[in-house]
Amino acid sequence: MGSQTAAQIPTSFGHELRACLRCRLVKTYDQFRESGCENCPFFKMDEDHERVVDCTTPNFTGLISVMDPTRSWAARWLRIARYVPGCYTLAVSEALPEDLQNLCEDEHIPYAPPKRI
Amino acid sequence: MPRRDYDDEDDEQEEEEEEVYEEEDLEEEEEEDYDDGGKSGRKRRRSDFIDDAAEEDDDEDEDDDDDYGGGGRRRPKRRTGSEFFDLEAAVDSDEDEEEEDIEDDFIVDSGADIPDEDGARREYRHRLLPHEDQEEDLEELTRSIKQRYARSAHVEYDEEATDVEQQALLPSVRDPKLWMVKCAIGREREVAVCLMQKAIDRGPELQIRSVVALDHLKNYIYIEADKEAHVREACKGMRNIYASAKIMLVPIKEMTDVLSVESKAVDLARDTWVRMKMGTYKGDLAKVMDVDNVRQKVVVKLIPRIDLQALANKLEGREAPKKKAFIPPPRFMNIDEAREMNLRVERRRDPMSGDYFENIGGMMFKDGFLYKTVSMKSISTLNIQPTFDELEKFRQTGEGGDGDMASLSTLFANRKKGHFMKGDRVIVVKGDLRNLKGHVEKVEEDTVHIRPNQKDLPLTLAFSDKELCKYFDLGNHVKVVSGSSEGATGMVVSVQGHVVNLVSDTTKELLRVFADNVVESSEVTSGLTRIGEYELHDLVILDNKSFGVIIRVDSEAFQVLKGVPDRPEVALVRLREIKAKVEKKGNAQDRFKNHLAVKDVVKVVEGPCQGKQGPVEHIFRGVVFIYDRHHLEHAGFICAKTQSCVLVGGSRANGDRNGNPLSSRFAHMRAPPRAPQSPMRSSRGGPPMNCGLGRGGEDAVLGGLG
Repeated sequence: MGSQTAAQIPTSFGHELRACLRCRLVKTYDQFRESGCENCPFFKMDEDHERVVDCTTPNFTGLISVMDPTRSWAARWLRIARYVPGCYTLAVSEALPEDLQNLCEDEHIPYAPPKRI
Repeated sequence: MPRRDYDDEDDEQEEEEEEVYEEEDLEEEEEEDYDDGGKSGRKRRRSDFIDDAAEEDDDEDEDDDDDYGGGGRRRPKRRTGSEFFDLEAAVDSDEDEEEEDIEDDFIVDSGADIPDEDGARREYRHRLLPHEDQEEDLEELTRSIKQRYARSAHVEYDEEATDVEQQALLPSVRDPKLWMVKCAIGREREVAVCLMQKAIDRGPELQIRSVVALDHLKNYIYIEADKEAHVREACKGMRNIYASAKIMLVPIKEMTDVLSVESKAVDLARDTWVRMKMGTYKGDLAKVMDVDNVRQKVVVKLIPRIDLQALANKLEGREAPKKKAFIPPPRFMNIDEAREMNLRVERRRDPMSGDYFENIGGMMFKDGFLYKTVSMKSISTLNIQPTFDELEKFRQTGEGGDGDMASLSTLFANRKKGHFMKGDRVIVVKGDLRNLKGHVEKVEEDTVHIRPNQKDLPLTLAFSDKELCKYFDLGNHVKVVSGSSEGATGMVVSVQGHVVNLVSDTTKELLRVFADNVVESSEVTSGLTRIGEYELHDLVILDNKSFGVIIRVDSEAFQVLKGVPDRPEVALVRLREIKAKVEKKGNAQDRFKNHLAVKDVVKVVEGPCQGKQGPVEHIFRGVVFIYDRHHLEHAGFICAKTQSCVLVGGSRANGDRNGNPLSSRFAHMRAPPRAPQSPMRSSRGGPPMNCGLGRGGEDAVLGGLG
């Protein structure tokens, strides 16, 4: 098992579940508001509650619990092998809003919008 | 100097890393507290390589990291890397080299290092920190940087996905495998999360790498692990996974399909046709009036299915016997009727659109339609084909005032534009001259001039195109030029206002189309004979077990006669369910070992199709498909075992197993002939009517024996 601290795991499975638009981590709205996103601390969701709504979405498909991102093929394929262990989603429906994309660029943080078929 | 060690002894480096890797596992197993164990393990590991200077740096970094958890691990490297570069710049005073450029160079250079990656990825945690405080030659520095960062830099830029790189991420035999496990239905996500919690609690003892719960796959989850035993171990004690559950290995080629998501971007726009998925209006056609992306809700317009009596009862507090599963039929809401029932009707103004709505019992009505706010998840937006009847119903109240209706769906759009051409037969549908028939003389912007059939009237009369409608006499042969039945031809059997009923030439079924979509024509279409690459009468393979012949082509699907000899089995398949077409001509032997090929005429001598006879259309896997034009079912196709057929004109005397021409000649002489002998027959009973396709060998024999 990796030596990383795992992200919080979602405490419920209802409509409160949201996925971070950049790293696709899945938690509840309250969890994002309280502790922000473990992979994307620069979004500062824990400080600015509006950010939670901008940076996360309830529209996502599929759930993957990654216990060991470094040794998981699935995590590598989904390009989440660099993130902390936790529950992620396979795909999100929207792209990050423009201003946040610019924020990512400024901080040299890689972001890939979701692929559209 | 420590750094030299790295430069020269790269191999040793890797060995050391691996040793430490094992060491780390041991260490971690001893640790009770997972989080601390990781960190201290890291400390211990690093100290083996790194001199004190760097280690101090490490400690600083780790303290900072506490706030950020694992994600911050990337930071220390960057920071120290940049420190390193600054130093290098100081030494060099070369200001052009920016941090990013150098890292980009690494990507290019590390192209050659890709084979190392797999091992490297596992070990990237063991990334070595540079020494910042040494002055070295520029070349040595760059070389050491490249060696040290090549692997990890490449991994770092993983995020910039290109399709080529995706190919490089395909699963290899060294990767963990995917195992499919059955679980309680509806609990797939719950199981995934529970296993995550278990992994956090148990730490490295739980040897599964990830768990996938797909939205569209019920009852199953995928677990990624190296061994099936690991999966079993992980699932022990999970309430939602059955203890006896079968664990199925996913073939390596299908692994990527598991993780691929069909994300179709469905953009809901106003005036789109959708269908309701749930509730009383399930399956009903609805039109989107307003979209709220923030709250994921839409306002749709529906034909109400309201039981006024029940509603009145409910609002007045009267206990009404609620009929279970009673769905009222769709009917336009009549405000006056509602008032009669003593239902309170409120006239409300919608702040958004400014329209007036009647509010009855909390539901908003306008023009007889119900305007309902629903979540985006409860409507189906794909492949909505509004049927003819539904559209008509939506039209009803809209026709008079609602000018928008005309431009909305394509079906409507065509209808309102006049399709009139010179010579069209028309009938007047509005005004005083209703039911007057005539022919179109001239068509202008909005007016159509017709020559009425009545002799007493003036030669031409002008009408607006809304007052006219194309007319067809019963018995006319027509062709549909637009709409859902486009391409069909047939004969008119009845006319009702704008709607023409016709009997299709091909399918012999009754089609209802708008008169505007039809023109008179003597063309007779042969109907749809192909969709995609598959034509009528092709032999296709459906999946590993079944195959069949296409006997009918409908607009969306094929009717396939399956290759089941004993009973005729017809399946309706869609284009995507067809795997491949069988091109090659099969060969087989009939009951008496006569060689069968396509186009040979055979007769069925046993089984349910006994007595049928006809040319062979396809041979495949021991089964023949025969076309018998007298056979009324399945477009004349019959499926039979090759053993149950006899080649018409074939010899019955060839009992020899090997089919050896010489010995069969003897056999032929020995056994009493059961069928009249033809002089041509001297070997294996090649049918005289065979046109010699691919029979070169036999002909030679024939010639030889001749």
